[in-house]
Amino acid sequence: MKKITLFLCLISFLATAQNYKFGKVSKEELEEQFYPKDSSVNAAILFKNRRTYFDYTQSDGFFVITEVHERIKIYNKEGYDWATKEIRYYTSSSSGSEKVTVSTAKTFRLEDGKIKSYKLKKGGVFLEKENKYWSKKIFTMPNLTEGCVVEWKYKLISPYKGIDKLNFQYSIPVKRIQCKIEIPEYYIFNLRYIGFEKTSSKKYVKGGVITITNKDRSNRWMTGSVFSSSDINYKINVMEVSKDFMPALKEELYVSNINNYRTSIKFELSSVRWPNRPIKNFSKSWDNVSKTILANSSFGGELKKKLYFKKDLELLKVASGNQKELVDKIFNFVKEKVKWNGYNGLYTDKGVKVAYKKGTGNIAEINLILTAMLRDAGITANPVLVSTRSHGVPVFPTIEGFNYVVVGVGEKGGIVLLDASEKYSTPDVLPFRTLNWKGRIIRDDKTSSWVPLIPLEHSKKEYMISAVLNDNEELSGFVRTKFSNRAALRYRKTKNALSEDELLEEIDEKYEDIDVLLAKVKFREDIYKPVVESLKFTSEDLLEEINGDVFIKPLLFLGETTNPFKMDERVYPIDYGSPWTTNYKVSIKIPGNYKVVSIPESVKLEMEEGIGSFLMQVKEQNGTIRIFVSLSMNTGMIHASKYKMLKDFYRDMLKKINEKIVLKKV
Amino acid sequence: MRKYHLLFIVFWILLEGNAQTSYAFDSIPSSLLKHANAIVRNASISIEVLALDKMKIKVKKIVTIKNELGDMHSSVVVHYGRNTKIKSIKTIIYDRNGLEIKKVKSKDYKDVSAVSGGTLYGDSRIQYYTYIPVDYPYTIYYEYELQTSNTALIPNWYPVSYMNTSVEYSSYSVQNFIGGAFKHLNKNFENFTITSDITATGVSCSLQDFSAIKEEELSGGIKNKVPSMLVHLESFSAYGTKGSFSNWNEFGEWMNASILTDNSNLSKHTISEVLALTSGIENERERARLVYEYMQGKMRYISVQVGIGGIQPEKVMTVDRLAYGDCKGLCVYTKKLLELVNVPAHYVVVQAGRNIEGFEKDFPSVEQGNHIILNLPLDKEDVWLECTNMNMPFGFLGDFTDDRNVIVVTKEGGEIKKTPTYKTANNVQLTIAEVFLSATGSVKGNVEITSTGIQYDQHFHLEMYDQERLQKHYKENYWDYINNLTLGAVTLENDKKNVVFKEGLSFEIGGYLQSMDDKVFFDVNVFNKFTRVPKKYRERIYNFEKQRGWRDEETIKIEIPNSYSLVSVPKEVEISNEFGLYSMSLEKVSEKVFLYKRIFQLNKGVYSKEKYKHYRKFIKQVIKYDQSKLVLTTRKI
Repeated sequence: MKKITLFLCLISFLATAQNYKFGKVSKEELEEQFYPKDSSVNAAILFKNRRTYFDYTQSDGFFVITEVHERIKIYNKEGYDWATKEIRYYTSSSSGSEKVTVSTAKTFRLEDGKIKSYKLKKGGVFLEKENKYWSKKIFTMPNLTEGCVVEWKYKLISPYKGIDKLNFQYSIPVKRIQCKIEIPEYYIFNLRYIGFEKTSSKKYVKGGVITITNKDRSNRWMTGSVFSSSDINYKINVMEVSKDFMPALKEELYVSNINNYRTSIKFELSSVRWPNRPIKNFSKSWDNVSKTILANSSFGGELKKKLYFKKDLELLKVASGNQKELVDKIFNFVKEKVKWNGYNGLYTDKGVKVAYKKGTGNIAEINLILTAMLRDAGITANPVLVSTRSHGVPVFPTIEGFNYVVVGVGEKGGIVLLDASEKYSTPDVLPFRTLNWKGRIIRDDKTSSWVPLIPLEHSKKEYMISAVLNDNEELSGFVRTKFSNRAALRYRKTKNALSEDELLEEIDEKYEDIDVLLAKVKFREDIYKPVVESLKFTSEDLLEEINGDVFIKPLLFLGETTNPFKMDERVYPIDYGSPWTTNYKVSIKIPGNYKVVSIPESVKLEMEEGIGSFLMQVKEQNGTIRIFVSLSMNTGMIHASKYKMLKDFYRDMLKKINEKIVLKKV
Repeated sequence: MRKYHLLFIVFWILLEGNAQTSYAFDSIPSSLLKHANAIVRNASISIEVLALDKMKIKVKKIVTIKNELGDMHSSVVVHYGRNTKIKSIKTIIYDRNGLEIKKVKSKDYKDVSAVSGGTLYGDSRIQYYTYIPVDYPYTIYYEYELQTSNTALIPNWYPVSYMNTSVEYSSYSVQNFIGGAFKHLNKNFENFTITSDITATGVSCSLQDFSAIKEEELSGGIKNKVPSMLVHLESFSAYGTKGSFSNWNEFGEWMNASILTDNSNLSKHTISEVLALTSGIENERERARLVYEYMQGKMRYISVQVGIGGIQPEKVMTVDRLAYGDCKGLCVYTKKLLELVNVPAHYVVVQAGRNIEGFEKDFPSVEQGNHIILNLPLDKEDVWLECTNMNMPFGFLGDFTDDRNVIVVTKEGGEIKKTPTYKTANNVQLTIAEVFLSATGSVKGNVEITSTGIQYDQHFHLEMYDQERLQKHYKENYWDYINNLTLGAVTLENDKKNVVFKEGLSFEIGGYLQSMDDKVFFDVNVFNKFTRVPKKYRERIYNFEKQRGWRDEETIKIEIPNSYSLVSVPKEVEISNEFGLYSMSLEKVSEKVFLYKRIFQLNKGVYSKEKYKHYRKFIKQVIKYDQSKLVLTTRKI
């Protein structure tokens, strides 16, 4: 215990003993061969300092300045990418641009025991326009060697009263990071902490002064202007957050968006309080956010328009019997009529009318058209705000928390979700990108509430094999695979573009242990039915003979053989997107000259808290062996603390399905 | 009323006119739809050589994209730079009916540097536009015109540049208005519908109704399967200087005279470092090795795509100062370092890639070759250096540039030489292990993998991995078929001098043994199971080739616990055929100790397509025998 405290003291001593002034790179830093806590890293942030503060000019009022100083150690060539810096900033001609200036940037190396530095040349910072709104400043440091240190400082000036997320964690470790945020008392921000690592922080108040200069011509006797100035004193709320030795982010399978787990602090402007003026509140609750979005003309306003589809809707109404039929008709009509241009967005871009006419639109356009048409047809339909998987899980109520719209049909409890941007999507079977967190439904009467997006219904694959063993030790038979809901959506999305030949090739490749004689896929385009893939097969490779015993895998050529979870530990949750089930029903007919020596015992495995289950039943009757296997995950997301259990569950399951049926020739 | 009718008719005609040029998907002959993800409807390249240093290139292409797998055709990419200017560019997108859906505006094109990550090639730029499809099929139409002073690089004709792409019509013409000899070379014109017209001043040819071909394993690249035409002016201008050549020797002379003209020098600092490093070392090869490793320690490679940055290397001085470069820059830099210590080195043009391709022996042109390496004509041997890989052993090329004809540029001109072949017998991976079975069902022990020859190339990059990534590599990649694998620390030994890479591991595999009643099964090939069945082709079209042979050998000592007794060992196997050989045996050394030996070798060779199913069968046999089991029992025998 003592040792540990001593060690900790030493660390903090070392951390503070460093000279973090720009250019004061030490010999020790340059000589360091590897990162002390993890010799495997390619680069590390030795020091990062960020200061964000508000400055005042009389002409522009407050604006936000962020100064960043970074010192990065590059241990080896794999780390060279860290010598290229990209700074993204907002540039909009209408609402004001941000500005970025790189004040200084140097590479430090050790040459013959002496520290040498190389400046980034003038003109070494390049500007790249990403799109209408965003630009990047990019520079690559010169004269890199293994072991060098690069260091730079830059400043971002923004007319927007927002504070960018404070990131404390990166894909490389950080030795010391410190941030100082200074906010005038007039601006009130909400803070939200994200991630698994602890940081230390302190808060205090300091004073600030604004000097206002007045030009006065009121003096009668003078011809020139008189300048007078007055000072306004105000309080500045300061927050300092720091961390020594922040570990790097990890890469793991089944993680939807690593930003959900990155240690960081998010800021949201909640209100502005000028003296002697009413407090101006910004969106504070999700209900508030929803109202703001609805009030926007590119959302609520577009939703009200209906003249453009009137005629088409009349035709649809004529031919429909009941309400469900009408919903399906309108849903299919919009899918056909307006194709997705690939852009997400809460708001319409060119507007619903243009999208409708041109036949392409962004997400808001497509699904607001669908909502409006359904409503006009007398069906209860409301837009549902969504944050896609790549957008992450919002931490507090802001408009930016959402980036996507789907449609909710029906009343409380019985809401069915639709998304017309995906050709193969059906009611309540949404594209994978939307299966994230929860959605916010906004009703016509301006009320709003949460709706679950992660479906309860399992994405389902069901395999059925009926096989016959013949005297030549060949197995032949039929396989029928049924893909339902999200499994069907995925199948159609990835395979419907393939020709018959190509599909057959894919099937050949998928099942290398069998010879596929015939393959047929039913309901490829009939999206309200499951996809059914049928094969006729024969194979000589499914039996193994050892000392006269014949061994057969119960699932023949199906079922996994390797555990997808190989690493010992897990940091982030396992995210499947939705619950899922895979079932196998196999029957193997054995000829009379064989006798069954043994079959695997039936078994049932269950994970804690009903997270998942596995069932295997094997029976033999009148020369036919029947196998039933069912594997289910009942939740779309499994917490990392359950990783060991999941891994062991897979291990036991795999062991079981790879047990053999043993036969003997008589 | 009538007026309206008339207007309607006019409008209708216009509409029809718009859709006319038969860009409609339905107008594609069905024979061209099979295996096609995209169909080139009409393409043309027309080139006019107006002066020795003035050439106009007009490109037009109309491609219908059938599905998302054809989306690589949805981009227009135009390279330009100091010597090449874009005169005009136009892109239009049509829907499945051939109706226009988007006319691309000039601001929609992106203009970026052709190379990211460095400023060396600031003048090589790309203008590009990528259409994001909303529905399939659609058609992209584009045309652009370039003017260049570089007549050494006449674009060649590759009417089919992708698999799964059909061509309805594609034409090519080169008109030489300045006289002078003019060479062309047709490749694979047989078996295709091609017209060609060759005159003294030009060539023109066209391809019609080419049905898409699909990828086949082991059949090499697309180049050997489709027609192409190479064109070259004997006298030309390149980068502001005139030149001419009519054979590879003269090509080399021209390279020396016009391209490799840089006479800038290394910095004093570099010179003194290198001289100090090699002082007193008599052996030429040793000096070369030290210099090569010096370069590797100092330089960084930035990749430059083929055709970008021209063929002129960066100045030695600049490379020295910036400490980075592309293959050309790094080669001239290394060459300069070598000359400084009196080691001769030649600049070598090579067509690099895993797929082995050579040069046209009788048709010299600047367009051939995509990479530069060095050749060191030492006393006893030719040494070849790859200067873009900072970890490669001295003199090792790997599968990127091995076994092919290259153009070596010497003082006397160009010379065709062949890079070293890695022979099957030397491309060995040796796995030696000790495995202890435990009565609990787990196995543990240690294993050592030694790789040489071309197999070294597949392993030595591990040296750059950290322990965590190594663990990931073995668990999720190299031994992904093993469940419940626990590894101790991995030790790696890279003997660069002899090009031998060794991996040493200790391991434990939980639940490896399968038991059934009183029987226990042990899968003997723990460490090198072959698992990949060659792809099945219902009808194979091309012959197949193994460009490199290799051999894997395993020797595993197996020790079983006292509580187990032997039931049976797998039958010995020995298969030998033209594709290779496979042998496997399990020998009982003592009651509790067994020795497993396996050899699997695949030969280098070219085989007829009819033999593919035999080859596939052989591999399937190997896979099957790799599942062989030692059967034990817990019963007392």
